[in-house]
Amino acid sequence: MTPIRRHKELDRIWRTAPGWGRLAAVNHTVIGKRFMLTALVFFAIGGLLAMLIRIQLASRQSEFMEPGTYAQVFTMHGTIMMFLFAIPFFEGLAMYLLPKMLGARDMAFPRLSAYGYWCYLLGGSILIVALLMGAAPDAGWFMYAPLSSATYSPGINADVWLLGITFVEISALSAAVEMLVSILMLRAGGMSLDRMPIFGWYMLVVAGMMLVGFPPLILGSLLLEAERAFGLPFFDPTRGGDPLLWQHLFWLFGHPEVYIIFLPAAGVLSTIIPVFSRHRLVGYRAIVAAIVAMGFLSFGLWVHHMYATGIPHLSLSFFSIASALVAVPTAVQIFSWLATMAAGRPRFSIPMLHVFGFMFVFVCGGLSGVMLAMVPFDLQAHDTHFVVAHLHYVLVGGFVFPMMAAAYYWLPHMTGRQPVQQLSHAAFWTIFVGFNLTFLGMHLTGLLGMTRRVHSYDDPWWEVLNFISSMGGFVTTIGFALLALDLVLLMLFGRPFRRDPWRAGTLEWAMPTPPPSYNFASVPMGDIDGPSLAAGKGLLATPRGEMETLGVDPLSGRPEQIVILPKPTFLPLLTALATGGVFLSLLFKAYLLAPVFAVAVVALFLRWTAAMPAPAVLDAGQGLMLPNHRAARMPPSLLAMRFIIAADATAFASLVFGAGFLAISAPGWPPAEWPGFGWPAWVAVVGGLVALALPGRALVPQLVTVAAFTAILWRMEGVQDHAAPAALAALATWGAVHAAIGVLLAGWGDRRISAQWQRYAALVTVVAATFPALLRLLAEGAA
Amino acid sequence: MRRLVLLIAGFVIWSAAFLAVYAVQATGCAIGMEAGLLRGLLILCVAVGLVAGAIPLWLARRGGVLGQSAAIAAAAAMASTLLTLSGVFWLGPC
Repeated sequence: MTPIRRHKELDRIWRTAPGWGRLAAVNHTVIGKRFMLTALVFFAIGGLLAMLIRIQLASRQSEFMEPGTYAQVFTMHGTIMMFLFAIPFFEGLAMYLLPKMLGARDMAFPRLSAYGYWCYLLGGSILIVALLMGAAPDAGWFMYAPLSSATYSPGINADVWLLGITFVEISALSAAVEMLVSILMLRAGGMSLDRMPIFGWYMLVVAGMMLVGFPPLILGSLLLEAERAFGLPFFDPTRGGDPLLWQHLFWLFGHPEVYIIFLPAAGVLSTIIPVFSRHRLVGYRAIVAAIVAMGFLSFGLWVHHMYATGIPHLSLSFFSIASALVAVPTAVQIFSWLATMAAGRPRFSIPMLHVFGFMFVFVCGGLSGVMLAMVPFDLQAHDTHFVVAHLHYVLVGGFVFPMMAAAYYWLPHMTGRQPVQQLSHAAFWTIFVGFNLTFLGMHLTGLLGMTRRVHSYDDPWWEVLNFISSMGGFVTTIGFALLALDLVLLMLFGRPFRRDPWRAGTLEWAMPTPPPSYNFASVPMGDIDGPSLAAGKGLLATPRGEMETLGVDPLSGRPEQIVILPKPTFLPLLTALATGGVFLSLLFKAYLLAPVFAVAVVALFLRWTAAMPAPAVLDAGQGLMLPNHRAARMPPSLLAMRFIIAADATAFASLVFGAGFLAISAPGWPPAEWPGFGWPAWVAVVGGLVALALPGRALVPQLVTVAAFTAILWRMEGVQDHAAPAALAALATWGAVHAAIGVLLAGWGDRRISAQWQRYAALVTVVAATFPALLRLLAEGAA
Repeated sequence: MRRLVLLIAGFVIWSAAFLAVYAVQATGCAIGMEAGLLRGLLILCVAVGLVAGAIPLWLARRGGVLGQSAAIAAAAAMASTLLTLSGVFWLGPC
């Protein structure tokens, strides 16, 4: 087969149809670009809000905005930048790049990518529409209770945040599962983990962090929404709740979030710096260890946002030392990049200019972070503009500058054109100078005592510093406008090139640019160059009418299976619309509609499994016969289920932690009357144990478990009176939902996937049904 | 997958030790446990964390690039256990 004919055949199989067909797109190149483009639109909106903040604060006693509007503006600025820009942007970049770098033709679950995108777009749109209607969240981007409770935030503003962000986070969790399975299983033949491009390592750790980082926030949001909507008092100290529980659940997510944002950017730097230094990355092994260390240590810092809440000194010491310690693996990476540059012959082209911007800004932010890690200093600077300046140095330095470097580095890959304009330098320096003008002086504003989120002030010194910050803000905006113009000019008038303009060596440059829909004409196996791949000298070179890519052993990269991916379909869009229906029903208190949409979601998800290929052994080329994924020992979906269970178990552990935390720390415990689960708890335990023993025949025991938990909930009293019955009701609901999913999977799911869930759901049942006794013991001991 | 598990094992143990110490300290203080007993329990948690943390370090001593990364990570995790939880030796438990 000639390369041209192979190209035409593969493109016919893999391409996204034009017109309405675009709504059915599942291709990672298309979805990745959509994620990035949508994130940039949200970035522009967030930037506009930042300008409004700066206008308000530029002078004393400004009447530019009334306090209520100002609260919506700063809340939405933070929310958009964190949830709708930073995370989705790197998700998009990773979706676009990972298969290309790893030698695959797509991600492991293309429909999940598309579903995640639609959830992100719809959830983000809910927030923006609320902003335009004047009903945006206004309790700050971390929504502290009790300010965000129904008492102090009536109306739907806080509900918009809680439901909208939870909706968006479905996309983050689906992206995490997608990336983990893709990195571990869909790589070039022979690409062992220790030969994987360093960006793959970064994204592997980030995806793992997302998997356990997001569930506590999703759980917290659901609990707070349950308090607002139904009066279950998880965070109300007058009824046995505790606002500190929200802070714990939020920051269990919120602090790792900073590293979830930073690590992909560090992955970009570890990829770009060796290319422009013309030297391999120094300290690959130490960097892999440092990424793992950062991934874990970042979870041990959450309380450093809560130093001022009266936590015992001993506890403070754990978090303070961990906060300082996380600087060590960060420094390992920075010194490794410096060593790479020192050992090579660096070319200071545009991406490297942004790398310099990162080095300067991020190191400053990191150092002020170490200052804030120290409890005595933090108590002075807590909740002041010093913290605002610090977080902008860390996030803009640690994410925006590297992403600008990434844009100049990979935009030629997306467009087939290289930058030629001199505007790039002007854009960089305008952003760099403007940024430092905005935020350097802000440290001093904070040290002078200006707290964050104040609407107006009197002090003339604050006015001088704020005016400088506001001018800097506008300079930065001009810089971003120049950057946007430069990138548009690059796309329109950039210099065309043939392959690999940077002489990079990673696999994404071994394909034509812009990339074809199928990435590689044949899947790489061992060391092979671009022209040989186009000539069909890799694996899976003969199109069979299916979207095929290679599945490998996670560690060695040995070819193990042929993964047959689903064709473009409207199902992800329809499922996301139905999911949106659930969230909108809850938002507008149309509680009878929510179950209708939920049933639609379940029915649509079941449709996803309708067209499965039959198990078979296929010719992969080069004399290699491989099973398709349906016949493989470990298909990607089985691994995905394990990760989904890990995420779910994190949320469940957070719920158990939350109940335990209330029992020993909240005021008003134990309750006057202890709610018990009674005899149905024993029925649930028996159902759970039978499902655990017979996961292949779990339909009946899971039905019994659902019935038992329903009986528990039916008999439960006083859930609005005290947090104890509320927490137990939450546990029983959790058990019921998991058993119900077990019923669905037992009836319609794949046997192996179902068995994994049945075992897990059975353990959840046993813990949920027996936990009330432990909770009572804890509460009475503490009393 | 064993080598991949080994890569994160050190810090998984660090996490477990960290959570155990934080939970024991919070619960011990809440139920009014005697200070000496509580300190002893906390030190025991740290000691168990250190001993358990040495296992991945021992297992990772041989085996390629990934093995070396795992050894570095395991050593860093042990150092982290000792440093982050060192307060149990010299600060009041409640």
